[in-house]
Amino acid sequence: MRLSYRWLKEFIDVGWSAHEIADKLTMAGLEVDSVEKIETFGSIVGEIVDVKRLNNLAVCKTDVGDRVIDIITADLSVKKGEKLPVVLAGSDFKGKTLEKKRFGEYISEGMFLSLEELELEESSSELFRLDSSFKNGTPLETIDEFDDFIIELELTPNRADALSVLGIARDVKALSGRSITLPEIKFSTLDKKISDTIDVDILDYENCPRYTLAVSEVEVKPAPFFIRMRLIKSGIRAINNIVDITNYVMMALGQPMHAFDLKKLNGNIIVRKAKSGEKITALDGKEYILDDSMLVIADERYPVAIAGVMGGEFSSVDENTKTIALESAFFNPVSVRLTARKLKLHTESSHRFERGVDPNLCLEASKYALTLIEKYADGKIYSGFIDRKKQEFKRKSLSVSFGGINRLLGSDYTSDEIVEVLTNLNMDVEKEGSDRVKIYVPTYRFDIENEADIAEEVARIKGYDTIEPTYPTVEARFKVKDETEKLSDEIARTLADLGLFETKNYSFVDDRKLRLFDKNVEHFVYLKNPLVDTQNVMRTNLAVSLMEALLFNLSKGARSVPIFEIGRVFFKDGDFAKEFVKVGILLYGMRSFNWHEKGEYFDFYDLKGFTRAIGGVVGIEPDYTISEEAFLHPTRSADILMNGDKVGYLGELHPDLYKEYDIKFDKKNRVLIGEVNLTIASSIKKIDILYEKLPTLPTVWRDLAIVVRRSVKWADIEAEIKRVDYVYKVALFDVYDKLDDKDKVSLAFRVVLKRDDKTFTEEEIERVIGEIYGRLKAKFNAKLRGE
Amino acid sequence: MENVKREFEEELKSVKNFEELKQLKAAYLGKKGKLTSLFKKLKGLSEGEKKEFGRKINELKEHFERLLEEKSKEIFEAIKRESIESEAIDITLPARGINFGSLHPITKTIMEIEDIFRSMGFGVEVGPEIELDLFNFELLNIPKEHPARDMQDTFYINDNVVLRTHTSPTQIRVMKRQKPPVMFISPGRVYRRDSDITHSPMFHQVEGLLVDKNIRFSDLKGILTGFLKLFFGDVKVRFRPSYFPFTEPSAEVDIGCIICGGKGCRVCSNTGFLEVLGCGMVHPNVLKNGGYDPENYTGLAFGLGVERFAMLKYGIDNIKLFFENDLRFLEQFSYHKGRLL
Repeated sequence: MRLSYRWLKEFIDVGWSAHEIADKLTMAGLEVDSVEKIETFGSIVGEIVDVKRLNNLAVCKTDVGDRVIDIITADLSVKKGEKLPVVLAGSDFKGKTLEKKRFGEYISEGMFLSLEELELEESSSELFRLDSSFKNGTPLETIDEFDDFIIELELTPNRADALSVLGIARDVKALSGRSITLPEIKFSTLDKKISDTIDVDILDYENCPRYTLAVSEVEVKPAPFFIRMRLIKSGIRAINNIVDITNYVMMALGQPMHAFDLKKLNGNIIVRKAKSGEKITALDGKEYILDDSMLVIADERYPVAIAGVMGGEFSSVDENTKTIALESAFFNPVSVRLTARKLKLHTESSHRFERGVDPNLCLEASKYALTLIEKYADGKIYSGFIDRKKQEFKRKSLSVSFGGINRLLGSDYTSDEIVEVLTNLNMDVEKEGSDRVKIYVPTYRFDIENEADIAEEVARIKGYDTIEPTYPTVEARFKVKDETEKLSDEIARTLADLGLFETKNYSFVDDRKLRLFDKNVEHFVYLKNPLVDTQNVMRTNLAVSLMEALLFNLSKGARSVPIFEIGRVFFKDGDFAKEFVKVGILLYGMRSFNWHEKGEYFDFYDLKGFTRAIGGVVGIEPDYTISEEAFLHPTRSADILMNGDKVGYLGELHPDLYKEYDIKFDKKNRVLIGEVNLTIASSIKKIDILYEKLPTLPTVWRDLAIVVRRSVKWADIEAEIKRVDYVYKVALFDVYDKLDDKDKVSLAFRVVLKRDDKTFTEEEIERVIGEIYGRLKAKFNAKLRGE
Repeated sequence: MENVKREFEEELKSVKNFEELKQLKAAYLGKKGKLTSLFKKLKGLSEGEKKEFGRKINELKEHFERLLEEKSKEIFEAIKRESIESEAIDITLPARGINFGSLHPITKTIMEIEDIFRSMGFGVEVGPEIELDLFNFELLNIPKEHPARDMQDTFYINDNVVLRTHTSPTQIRVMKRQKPPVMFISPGRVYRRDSDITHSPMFHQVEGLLVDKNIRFSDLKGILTGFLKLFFGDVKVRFRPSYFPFTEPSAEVDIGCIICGGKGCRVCSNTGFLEVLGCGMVHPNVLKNGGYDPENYTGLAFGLGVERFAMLKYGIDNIKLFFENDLRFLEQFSYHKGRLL
C-alpha cells in the first residue's frame, strides 16, 4: 500500500519526518518498503492561452508566468484555459538539458508533462492537468500536494486494520501517545427521504452481515486537485469526482464503497447469491460468469455488482449521472476471498474485505463520503440511510494477565506500561484482579484473539529491542540425527573427497524423460499445477535428473562430468506418496587428463569403485549381480546388494538411450549411472568391526596366472580359491584379453597364504598352489598361462 | 725433503678421483715412491742425524697419509653429491591421484547451520516433501480460505496433498509423536510455484522448534542472535515484528548488511539491513494441534532460507545457479581447482 505522508500528517502530526515514521512503523510491524520524495523535475505551472492545430500536433500558446511561449505537443486533448506542468527549454530534465525544437514555422520552447513523466504512474495516455487556481509560473515543488513523500508499506495479511491512512495513523498514535484528528463530517439533507426512493433486501445475512445505502443528487465532474493527487500517490487512477470520492474514503478510512447510478437500477437492491451461470460485465469491461457460491448485489432483474469485489458496468456512474446510490457494506471475508479467487479478480476492495473491514465503519464512512460529495459534487443528499443488519457488532473481550504476558516475552513491563500501550491502541481495559485485566478489542482488529496476541501488541509498541536476549535451560535430550540423514551427509563428504561434484536438481521432471528410466507410470506422482510441462512429475529415480545435469554441462563445453546427487525420489501410495532418499552418481568423459595418465575415459569399474565406497560408508561390502534394469546396457550393468537385499544398480546407459539425449555413442566414452537407495541401506545391519588375532608367523605369497573362458566370472574364481586351506588373501593384478583365442582371457593374481602353527615348507606351499590349480581346472576348465 | 713435500701437495691439488688418488699414493708412498726412496738416504748418515732425519721422514709420511685420507673423503662426498644431484625431480609437477570434488554450497551451508544448532543442543529431524495440506497449512493455523495462503503459491498433487511450501509441517509431525520438551532443527527442500530472478520453485529451509515449560520470546532472541553471530561473524542483529499464522508474537530478523557494513547498498536496498529469517513464539493453536497443552507449554520456532544464507556467505548473486549444476560453478566450492578441463 502506498500513501501520502502529507495526508497522514492531517490525521496525526507528531513532528516525525517521513523517514522517521517509516523506521518506527517498520519496527512496529508495519514494514515500510520505501520512502520516496516526490520529484517535480523543475517543472512549473503553465496555462494554455491558445491552441492551434499543426497536422497531428497541437501548438499551445502557454503562459508560464513571466512570458508566453509556444509549446508543441502530440496530445490533442489539450484545451484553452487548462493548466499543465511545464519544463522550459534550456532547463535540466532528468539529467539532460531540454532543447528547443522546431516544427515548421513554430519553435517549441518547452514540454508538458504527463504523470508518467512525473514518475507518479506506470504509463499515461495523456498529459496531466493541474488545478486552475494555481498561479502561472509557480514551481510545482512549492505546491502542497507535490511537496510530499510517498510511503510504501508491505503489510502482512493480519493487519487489515492498517490498510488506510487512518489505520496507519492509529499505529502512529500508539507509538507516540498523541491523538488523531478525524476529518470533519458535516452535510445537510433534503426533505426527500431515501426510504421513499429505494429499498434493500438482504437474502444472505451470513455473507452480507450489514449493508447500508445513501442517496444523493450529484453533478459529475473531475474531482478537486488534492483528491486526485492523493489517489494518484496511492496508486489509484482518478476517474471522476464520485468514483474518486469513494476511493478517497476507502484510502482514508479503510471502507470500500461503491456508487450506483440510481436511474440505471431496476427497482430495489437485493443482496443474494448469484444464480449458476449468471453473467455480469464488471467495471473493467470484462464479462464474468458467476456461480451460486458468489454473492452479488442485484437489482430486481440483474446483478449490478460482485459483492465486495467490483461494480457492474451497466449501473456505473458516468458524466450523465444525476443521482447516486452509495453502498457502504460489510461482507464476509471468506466469501469475498473465494469469489475473488475463483474469478481471478483482485481489487482494492476485495483485498480489504477478504482481510476484514470494520463492520462498525459503514455509516461513518458513508457520512464522510457524503460530506465530500456535498462539497465537491454539488451533492443534494436525501435524508436518512438504509442500514440493514441483524445484529450489533460488539467488541471482543479477552481476559489476560500481566504476568502471563511477561512470562511469554521474557520481559518485565509494569502493569501501568502494559495498560498504557493497550489504551493507546484504543482498547478498553477493565481490572479483574491484581494481575488480570479484561480487554475490549476494537472491531477493526480481526487479528487479536488471545493473550499471545496481546503480548505481541505490547512488545511491538514498546519495541522488540526492549526485550533482552536470554538462553533457555532445557533438559538434555540425547537425540541423534536421523540415520538416513547421517548416512547422506557422510556419503556426500566421501564422494566429494573422492573427486565427485555434488549437484542439486529439481525434484520434478519431465514425465516423457522419466518414462525412459521407469516404465511404471502408475506409481508416478504428478503435479496438478506444474509451472511448466517439463516439470510435471515427481522423479522416481535420480538418473533422470543427473542426465539433465549432464546435458547442461555438455552444452557448456564440459569434457569431464563426474557428478552425484543425494535427494529424494517419490512414489504414489494411494492418495499420498512414499519417499526414499537416494544417492545417484553419473560419470561421463575423461577420468583424468594429466602427466601420468592421459585422457582415459570413465568406465564401469570407476563407478563400481564409487558404489563400493558408498558400501564402505554404510559399513558393508556390497555384492554385485547381473542387473535387469531396462535403461542400462544389458551386458555392462549390475545390481548392488547389501546383505542380500537389492539397494541399487550401476552400469552404462543403454545404447538406445544415447539417441534420446543426442549424445554420441562412442566406443569408449560412455555414460555411467548408478544409484543406491539410502533409506534401505541405512536400515541394513552394518558389519561390526571386531578385532581378530594377528598372524603369529609371516605370511607367504605366490603369483599365478591362468587362462579361462571369458564367460567365467572372477568373483566365482576368487570364491573357489578361498575354499582352499591356508589361503588368506587373493588379489587380481592383471587381466589380459588379447590372446589369440578371442574367447579366452588370462588372469594373473597373487595368493597370500597364512598358517599359525608352523612355518610353511616349500613342499607345503607347492601343495596348496597345486590344489588351487586343481580346483580351478576342475571347476572352470582353467589352464595355466602358457600351458 | 722440502721439495718432496711441496711437490706432493701440488700434485694432490689436481687429484679428481679415486684412481688419481691411488696413483699419487703409489708415487710417494709406494715401494718405489718418492718418500720411500728418501729412507735410502738414511744409510750414509750419523746416528744422531739418522734419528733426526728418520723422525722427519716419518712425520712427512704421516702428513701425506692424513692429506690422502682427507682427499679421499672429499672425493667420496663429491661423488655422493653428484649422484644426488642427478636424481633431481621437479617437485612442482602436479600431485598424483588425489583430487577433491566438492559439496554443493547448499549442503555446505546446511552442514554449517546444523553444526551450530547441534552445539546448542538441537536435534535434527526430517519430514516428507510431499505433505498433507493438513500438516502444511491447516494444523499450522492456516485454514483453507486464509489470506496467508497467498503468501505461498503452492504446488498441488491433489486437493489434500501438496509439495510442502515450508519445513514448518515438521513441527506438527514431531509434536504429534513426541512429548515435550522438543528441541530440533529440520532442514530440507521446499517448493513454491514461483520462478523469477529472485525465486526458485524449489529451495531449502531450515526449521527450528523448541517447546518446553517457560520458553520465552527473549530465549528466541538469545538463540537466534547467538546463531547469527556464529554464522556471519560479529554482525548487528535486529528483531522486527511481523506475521506468520503459526507464531504469535512473530518477528523477522535482520542483520546489519554484511556487504556495505550498514551504510546502504544495492544488496540491502539502502536500508543497511538484510532480512535473514522469520521466527516467533509457537501459536497456542499450533501447540494444541500438536497435542501439547498451551497452558503448560510455550515454544519458539524459526525458519530460514538456506539459499539466502549461502548467497550472502559466498557472494552468489543469482539463485538459479544453485540448481543449474554448472560444473564451473560447483568446482568453485572445491579447494582443488582446475581438474575439470
